[in-house]
Amino acid sequence: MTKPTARYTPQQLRAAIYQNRPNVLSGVRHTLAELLSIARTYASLQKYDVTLHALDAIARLTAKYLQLRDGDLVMPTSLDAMSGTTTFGFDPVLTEAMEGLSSLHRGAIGRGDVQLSQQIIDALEFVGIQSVDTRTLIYPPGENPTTAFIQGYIFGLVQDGAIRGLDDVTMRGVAALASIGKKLLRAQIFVTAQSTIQYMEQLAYITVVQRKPHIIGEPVRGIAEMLQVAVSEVVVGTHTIDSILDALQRIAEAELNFKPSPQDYVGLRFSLGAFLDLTQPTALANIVALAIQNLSLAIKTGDFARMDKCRKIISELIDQLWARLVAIGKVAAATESFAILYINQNISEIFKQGLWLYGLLNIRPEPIDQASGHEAWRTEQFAENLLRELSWIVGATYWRIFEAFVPPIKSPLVWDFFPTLSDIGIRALDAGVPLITDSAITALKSIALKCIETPIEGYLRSAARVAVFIARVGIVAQKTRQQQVLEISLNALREFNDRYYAKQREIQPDAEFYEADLKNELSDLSRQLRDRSWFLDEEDAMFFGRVAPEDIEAFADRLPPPKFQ
Amino acid sequence: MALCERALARAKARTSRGEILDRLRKATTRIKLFLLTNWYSHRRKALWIVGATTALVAGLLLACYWSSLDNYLSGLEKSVVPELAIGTGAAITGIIAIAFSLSLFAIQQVADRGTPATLQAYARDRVIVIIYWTLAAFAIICFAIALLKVERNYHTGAAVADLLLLFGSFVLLNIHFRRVIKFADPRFTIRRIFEQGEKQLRALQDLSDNVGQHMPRDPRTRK
Repeated sequence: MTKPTARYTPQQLRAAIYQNRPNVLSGVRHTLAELLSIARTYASLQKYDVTLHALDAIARLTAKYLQLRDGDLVMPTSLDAMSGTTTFGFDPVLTEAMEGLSSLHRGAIGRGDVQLSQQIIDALEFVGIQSVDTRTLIYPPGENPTTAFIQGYIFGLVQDGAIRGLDDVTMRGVAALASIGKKLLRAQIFVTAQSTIQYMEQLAYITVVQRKPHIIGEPVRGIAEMLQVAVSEVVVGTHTIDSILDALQRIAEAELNFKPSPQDYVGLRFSLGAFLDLTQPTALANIVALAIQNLSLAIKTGDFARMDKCRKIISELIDQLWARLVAIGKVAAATESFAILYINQNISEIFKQGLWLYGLLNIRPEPIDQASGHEAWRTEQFAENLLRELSWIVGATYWRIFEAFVPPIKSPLVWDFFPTLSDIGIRALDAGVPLITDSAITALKSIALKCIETPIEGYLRSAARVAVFIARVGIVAQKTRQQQVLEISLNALREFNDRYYAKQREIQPDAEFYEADLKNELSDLSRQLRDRSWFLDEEDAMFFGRVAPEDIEAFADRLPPPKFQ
Repeated sequence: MALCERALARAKARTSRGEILDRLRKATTRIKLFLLTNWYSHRRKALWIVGATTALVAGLLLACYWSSLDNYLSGLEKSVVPELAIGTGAAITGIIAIAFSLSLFAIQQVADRGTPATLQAYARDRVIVIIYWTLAAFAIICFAIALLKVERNYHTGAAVADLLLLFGSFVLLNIHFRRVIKFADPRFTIRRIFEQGEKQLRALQDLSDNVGQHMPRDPRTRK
């Protein structure tokens, strides 16, 4: 019987040699020092073609060195930071190269030499990206200590530049961090990727304080692109998506808290556009659409493993999404920012995508064996969860955001909420999802009732104009003979009418008559339809394109008279 | 009438002059096009062909007229050929002294303005070392030729060898000159240092590959 013999691995042996015989590395260290010296000399002379060559040589040599030391590089990990010895062993070659570049950058920043600074950041970015594919001797799962070390240096340099207001340095540095972050996510190195997100978030706060929308946009875009990569590469079960969304939410809140001008939609587009503007591929709703597209593709190909991952991605994306939207929307409402429009558009688009997915999930083939039965059960569970989250996004967001407006509400952007909610209600009605229609009607009712107390632009009639959007859903329900929804909308309008008349009486107790504003609004609606004087937008078309003036009048006749208390 | 004839002749002459000028212009354009297209793309090859052909022709002429040349050189004073060899050797020695000291001066200037790494790289450069030793060998050969006995074909052989060595020295001087100019450019120095670093990394790679082939036991398992 032979005893199992424990042996050192070649990596351990190599690491021991490099650690105990540091002179083995002295040639490379000397070469790097020479190149750094050349870069330093010509940096002060502002000969950028020479510095570019020197920095490029340093970056390529360092990257080659890291590839050479793949598997035996000794670097401290997060485990070392949390427990064990407090003397960290850093690799001397890498540390010296980083320190050299860092000191060179400090000099460049001191002189305000943006071009040299960008060259140094480029060199560091190259080394950082190359380091992602290398391993250290000991590395905890999801972590790359070498990349973490390099990006720590990059962050330090960029932070220096950002504090001194060197915009180009900040933008280039953030782009470098984003590139490294995306590479980390593609390599499934999540822990280090999270530190990249944190770095970019910190840089974003510095730029928020400096009030430079075009610079804020860089970290926002970087983080949003990382989200896009996480979704497209199906990075599951690592809380990466969650932490990215957290970071974006916090940045958006910080930016909107500074109360930008309500008319400054260009600035807002530059600062938060990458996260909120639907015309940009990294916008929240577009990311959700990407995740849904991935799932539909997996369903089409029948790839169960991928389907499972895609479901998890979507669940992580939409989990508590309503709370995030509310948080951003509240700040936007309080400052009357143009971001309200973005929030509304995102909700609308996410709902449409979600509803489409819900429809797709409901087309399930009959299970034929245990595996397909299990899959069908999981799909059903997911569909239920999706519907619940959609219901929250529709029902829990708008009225909370509306409450955050400072009365008297003057922002015209608030009027975009109601057609969207009405459209959501009608679409859900068509898709046979009364739960969402109910949520939409409840949200509209809640806002309409609030409008009675704090009317938009100070006019009480604005409450009736909001209530008309409840009626729109009811009119379509009446037309499509969906009695349950019709009843819900009529009940909501009844309650509204009662409160509306009560408010009128409160304002003018001795008036001879009170305006039936809701009915008047419905008459206006009917007249608009008859005169064809409605705007051709998607939401109006959804309603006006399918009802006749008679339907509106028939619905108005159904409205019960108000009860006077 | 005569006036009309003269005017007609003048008009004809003007027309023919215009035609000639036009043709000349067209020919110039064609030549320009040729030089910019065909000639430009094959210029290096053409130069090499011209050079090789010239050398071949010169060699053939030398072989054909070798004996006549030998007779002519034998007719000169006996000391002419050794003096020529000594003179060539001295010239090459002078080239070494002047070229290398002047280049060192130039490199020092560059190093002063830039980085001392340039001077180090220059001192370590193998091409420069090879040029130096080749020139030195040429000088020694020239002096050695001066010492050779007068044999048959000696005169022509010695003269041709001297002149070829002198020509070779000029070629080497040209290479040296270009090399020094390269060293004046810090980007060249950077590339050299980078290549040196790559070599060091390759050596480390060899070391890494060798480690682990004969792995010792873990000391904890030793008895």
